[in-house]
Amino acid sequence: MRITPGRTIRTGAAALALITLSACGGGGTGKADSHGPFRVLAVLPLSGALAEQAKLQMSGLQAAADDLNGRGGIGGRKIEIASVDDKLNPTEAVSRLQSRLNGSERPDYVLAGATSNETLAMLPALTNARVLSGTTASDRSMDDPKKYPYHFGYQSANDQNYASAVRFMKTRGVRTLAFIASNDALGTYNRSAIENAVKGTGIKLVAQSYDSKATDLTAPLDALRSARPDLLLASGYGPAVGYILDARQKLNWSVPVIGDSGFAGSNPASLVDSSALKDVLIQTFKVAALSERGSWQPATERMVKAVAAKGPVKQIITLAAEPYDALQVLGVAAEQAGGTDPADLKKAMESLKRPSPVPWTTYAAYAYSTKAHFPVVNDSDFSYLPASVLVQGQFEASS
Amino acid sequence: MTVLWAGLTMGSVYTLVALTYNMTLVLTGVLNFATAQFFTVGAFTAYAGLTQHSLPLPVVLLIGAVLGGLVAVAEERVAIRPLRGHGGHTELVTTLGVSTVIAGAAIVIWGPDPLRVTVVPERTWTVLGGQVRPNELLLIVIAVVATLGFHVWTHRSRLGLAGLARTEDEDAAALRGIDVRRLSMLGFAIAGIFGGLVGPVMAQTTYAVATIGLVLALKGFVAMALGGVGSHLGALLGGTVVGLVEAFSNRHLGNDYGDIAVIVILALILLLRPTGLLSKGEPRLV
Repeated sequence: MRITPGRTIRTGAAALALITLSACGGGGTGKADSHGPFRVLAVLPLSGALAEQAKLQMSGLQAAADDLNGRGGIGGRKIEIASVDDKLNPTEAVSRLQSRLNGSERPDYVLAGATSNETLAMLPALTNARVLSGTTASDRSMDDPKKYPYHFGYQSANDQNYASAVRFMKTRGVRTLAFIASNDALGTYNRSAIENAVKGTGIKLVAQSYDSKATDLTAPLDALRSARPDLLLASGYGPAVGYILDARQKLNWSVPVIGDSGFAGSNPASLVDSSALKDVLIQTFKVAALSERGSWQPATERMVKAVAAKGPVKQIITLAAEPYDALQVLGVAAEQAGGTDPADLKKAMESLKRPSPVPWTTYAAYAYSTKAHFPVVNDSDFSYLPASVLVQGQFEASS
Repeated sequence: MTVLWAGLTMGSVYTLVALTYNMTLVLTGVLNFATAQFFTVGAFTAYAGLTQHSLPLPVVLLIGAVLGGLVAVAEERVAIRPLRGHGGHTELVTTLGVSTVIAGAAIVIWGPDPLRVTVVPERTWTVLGGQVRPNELLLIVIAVVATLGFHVWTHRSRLGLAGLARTEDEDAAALRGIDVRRLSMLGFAIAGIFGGLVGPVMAQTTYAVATIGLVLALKGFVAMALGGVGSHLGALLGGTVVGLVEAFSNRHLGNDYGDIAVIVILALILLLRPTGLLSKGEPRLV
């Protein structure tokens, strides 16, 4: 067979265009047994690129179930946890969820996905079935109590996190802020979040985006450097974190850096030499900071030990803490609602009275309302730490 | 100048991938979309050897080359050879499948997180007014030397010339006594050994991460198409153009324009010279 360059290019380009992704949802009609066990279903990417994160989420969920079951369960019902692997595929997630909603062991609560794509695909079916759900994904479009009345988020979105970071920067006298984020959906959202956060603060913002598949970020960092900012707020995940720090060092640029929660969760100290971490802080919740032990929520120590007992913690502990909190918040809501009817639980969540001590770990209060189903962040929930090595999911260094 | 070095570095990475595309194409007649994964094999071998087991670098490079070669030969036996004589381009699907399997195996063994690999000391040098790292300079040197080496080998050695003859007309080459099956195996083996050998150096720039092969496959393909399919010198030129256009567009137009600029230039060149920059204007793979 004679091979021509033209044919090779055409067929090659066609082959490279093979990309698949789709999502859809549906509803169910079954009803949970309100006297049997309290069934928790985790629909998570237990295989594939986010498998380690998903397994840590399962550890957090199981640790909370063990703790609550020792105290009688949720609303007097023992918790039973089941999991299904959605392979990070929204279509698979909906399909696996739907079969559980239609089955005999219908879940009372669903931890719905690790990413916004999975969660958004499952929400119509969950809403239709009136099943309470939660997620650690933080796409703001999920915070819509009218559209998704039974869904509650467990991770604050970056609009709140960045607003808090900007207040921290003001105390540092920052006047020009550089910001870098990927050009995918999350990065674009983060860019709009920081633009809103600096409004009215007197801080001038210069921003650059990068291709999430890029392997060298010297050019966008160099463009940011030319604006002579006082600080760089870096948003990224995985290798991009290394590329950002590597480019900064290569450019011999001494600008101080704050990495956002995704940046922190990528464990930057594992990606670059310690010399590239000079003047690099990470914004992280206190639950992930060993040095903040004195200001942890009372249940944190117990949660950390319980999660560690389930296996080595290779990722940031917040991945386990947030699902842990999800069940603990449900437990408090059930006490205050006097049962586990979904409508009563939803109502109790929206007007949750803060117990003392709180059984959760990440936020001082979850502060849901009829208008907001995402947690409300206080500046005191955060810590700004030098980027250091993660030990059992927590950063060692002190601020 | 630092941006120039960054562009040359990434251009060298794309060149290296384009060279391995060419190697299997010239000797085998197959456009192998798993070719960039041979570098992944080298990258993870380097992480396992250097970081996890503290082996000497020469031993790690040797293991990388052997593993890369074995993976490539296995691919040829499993995903290419059974399709011979069936016509069409079904190997495009099977090689994409092999690429996915290699990436999946890397995730299963080493996890999804990027892993740091240090082959040469991590320093920053000022060269011609720009900042550059030793590993980046090494990548540039490897790309140039490998290009010249492959070019000379293809045009001067008996095996290289046999490959060119096979590319021209496989049936005629077989009738003249060229062992086409052996050539096919050889093309994959060379590409695999090369990827396994160079992968560790590349990983110091890109990290050992399971998704890197899929990312580089696209840019390497663009570099090959730009320079001229089958031309090793074209791969160097194409890779360099892609790296520089990408870097300077990102710097001066904004990061959203890097890929657009690369594709615009590719489209323009293919419109004006459909066979690529360094081909001879006729549909021949040299």
